[in-house]
Amino acid sequence: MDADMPVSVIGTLRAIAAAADRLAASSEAGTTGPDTLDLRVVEILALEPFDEQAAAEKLVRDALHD
Amino acid sequence: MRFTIDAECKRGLRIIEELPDFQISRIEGYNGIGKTSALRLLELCTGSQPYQGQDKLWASFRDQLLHATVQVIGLQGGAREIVWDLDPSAWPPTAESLGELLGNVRIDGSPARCEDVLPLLRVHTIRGNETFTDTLAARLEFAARGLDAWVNHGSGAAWQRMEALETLLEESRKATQVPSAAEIKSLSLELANAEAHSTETALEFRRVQTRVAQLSEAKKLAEQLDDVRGRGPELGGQLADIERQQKALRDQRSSLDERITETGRREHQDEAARKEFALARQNFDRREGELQNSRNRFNAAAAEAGSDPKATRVAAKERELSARLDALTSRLPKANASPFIAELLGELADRLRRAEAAGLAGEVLIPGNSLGRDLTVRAWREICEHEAANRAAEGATETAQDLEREIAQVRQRLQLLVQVKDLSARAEHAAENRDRASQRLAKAIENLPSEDATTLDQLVSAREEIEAHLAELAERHASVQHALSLVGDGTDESTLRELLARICDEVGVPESRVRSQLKIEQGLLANAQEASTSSQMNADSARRRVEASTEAVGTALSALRQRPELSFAHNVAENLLSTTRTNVSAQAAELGALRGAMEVAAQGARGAVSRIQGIAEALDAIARQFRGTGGPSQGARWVRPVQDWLAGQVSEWFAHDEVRQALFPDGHEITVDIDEMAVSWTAGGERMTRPMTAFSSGQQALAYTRARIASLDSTVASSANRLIALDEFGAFIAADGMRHLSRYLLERHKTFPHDQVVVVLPLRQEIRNMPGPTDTVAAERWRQLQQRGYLTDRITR
Repeated sequence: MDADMPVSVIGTLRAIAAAADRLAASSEAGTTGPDTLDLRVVEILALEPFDEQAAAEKLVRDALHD
Repeated sequence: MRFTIDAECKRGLRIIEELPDFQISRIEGYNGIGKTSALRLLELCTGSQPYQGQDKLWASFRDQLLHATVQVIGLQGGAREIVWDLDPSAWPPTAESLGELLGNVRIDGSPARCEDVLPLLRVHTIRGNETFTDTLAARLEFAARGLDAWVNHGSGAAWQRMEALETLLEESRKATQVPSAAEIKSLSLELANAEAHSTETALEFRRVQTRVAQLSEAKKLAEQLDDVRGRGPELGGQLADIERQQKALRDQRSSLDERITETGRREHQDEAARKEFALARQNFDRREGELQNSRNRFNAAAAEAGSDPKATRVAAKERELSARLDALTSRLPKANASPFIAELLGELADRLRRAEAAGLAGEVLIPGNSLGRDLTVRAWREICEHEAANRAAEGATETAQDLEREIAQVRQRLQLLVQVKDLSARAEHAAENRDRASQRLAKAIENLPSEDATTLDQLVSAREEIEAHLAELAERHASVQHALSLVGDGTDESTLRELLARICDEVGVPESRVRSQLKIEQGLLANAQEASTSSQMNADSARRRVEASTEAVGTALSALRQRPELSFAHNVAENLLSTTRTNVSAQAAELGALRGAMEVAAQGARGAVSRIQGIAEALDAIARQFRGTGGPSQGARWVRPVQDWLAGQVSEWFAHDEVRQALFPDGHEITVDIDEMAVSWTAGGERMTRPMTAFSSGQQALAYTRARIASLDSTVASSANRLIALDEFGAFIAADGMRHLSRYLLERHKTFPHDQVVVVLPLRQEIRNMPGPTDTVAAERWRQLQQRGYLTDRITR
């Protein structure tokens, strides 16, 4: 992956996702609250080396178990 | 770590020679001495491009730096020493990453690539000529760029991966597309109902069919009964009449057979007679031709021979000519001797005359002999003269040639007559042959058949007509006999009555209503058949749909087992693929769940990437807000979480004791409102709010520094060694500001002991003056300043 996801970026995403979750859980969120960012999906997409089959398997397993 | 720099520069560029091996230190020096240039050079050596976006400054730096050797020692981790030998002439004209163009690198004395340095050492410079809000904006922009790069750029971008996954999952969903379990159950139920209905209608059809068959039989029996009662006697009469005709015709046929036999024999003879007649006729014609030919030749020969063709005349003529030939032949010797004899007789006569003259007339010349008297000379003369006279008389008109000519002519005529005789014989023979041929012809004519005789063909035709008639009669006979046999089906009236009564009893229909009831039930049968066919078709259709859905499930499972691109789904659905599961509905349910999961997975991947894009847009939008170039119009759904996150970050920075004490003395409950760009805190029981821009430059610098270093701290160190330089921080000249900074750095050092930090400051005024001789520390500083133009201090408190 040319644009390898830096650790700081995933950290930022985690923090922003957590903030979004907090907002969504609060009364402020309302109907226009942010979407939930599934960090598990992000981590699968960021796997190096990336293997389509492995990524698909993880995503589908996750979806089945959810 | 100790950095030493040996740089060869054109006039106008200076670079300080050393950064000491102090964990936390301060460098103070005159303006232009080369502190910042040294830091920038070290950044270049460790893979950064400090002049990014500043092409003019970069070009100036590159042109003025002729050559440099940089050494760092005291490294921790996998190397002790790194040495760079830099050749700026190879550097690109614009400020871009140098990569391997940087120059030669040796790590612990061994040649290495420039990128090999990165895991060993990184240099980060934090410049104090930015505001706190610029730092926040840069922080946001950095995060946005990182996300954007990860999502959108390069061959392995998240967007690309997501699309590849989407395609794979979509194809996989298509490959495992089967009817749902509910549909399969519904189809099975539909099939069961259709089959039950089909069975019912088939049974009803057979029931009605049986009744119609019984009623038909009853109708037939009734008709037979009618036949038995009405048609039997009439058919018997017809049969007898036909048999009589047959007998008569058979008699005729026998008679004809006899005649045909006789005629056949006779016609054989006639045929032989006709053949003989033809042959005799041909023979006669040929013999007649031969006869005519012989006669013509005979007549021609007779004419040429000068004879009458009659045979007697020819014989007479032959005799005449033979005599003539004998006469002529006898005359020929005399004719041939006459001239000589005549001459001899003349001469004898002359001599005799002269002898007479001599008186010897009476003299006997030749005494008498047995033949006659004595011949005297006279007598002899006289005989000679007489003979001479005779011969003269004979030989005066006839010559030997004339005789020979005539002899030849006679002989030729005799030859012709011989031919005539021969031809005559032939003609007679031909006449005999012709006569025999004539007799044969006459006999053959006698044997020819008479013209009015009946031919065999006529007799055979007549027989064929009789045969045809007989066949027709036989057919009629059979037909009538069959009809007779059908009358009552060979059954007698009482039996027929009994059978009819029994069937009517079985079907519950009186005899009188058999026909009308049959019509009614035939209509019912048609309806029942149509219903049965229709329900059978429905059942077949339902069965096909069930089979198709079963096949679809089988195909999908087979694809899961065999297609390599579906191996991920195969792994996920191992239970489904176990051979113990045979329930199609359950398999379809699991396949449905699998497809649903694939859809959710694809949506999840797309959603994640889209949301990351949204977050990047929100980061950018808020950065623009900080820089005063716009508001958060894009990524609106993520603005609040990003603001919340950033506020948390800033609050965290401010919560550090040293920073908090510097910015909010005795303050607590520090909260940041990013939207308003304001900070609130509680101090002395009172809630206070201040815009960020309202803090002093020293406070802002400390907050900014804290923010920048916090950014570095949030990144797990990817290098074994790190130099963090705080440059251009004039705000820290003030003792109060420096004290807060020093405490912060010392405190931080406990958490990051491998980071080396250097604070680069303009030269304080009090150091510019020569110290008194008793202040040894100040004297040392003075000495360094005088010697190198800058001085270094270890920060310890």
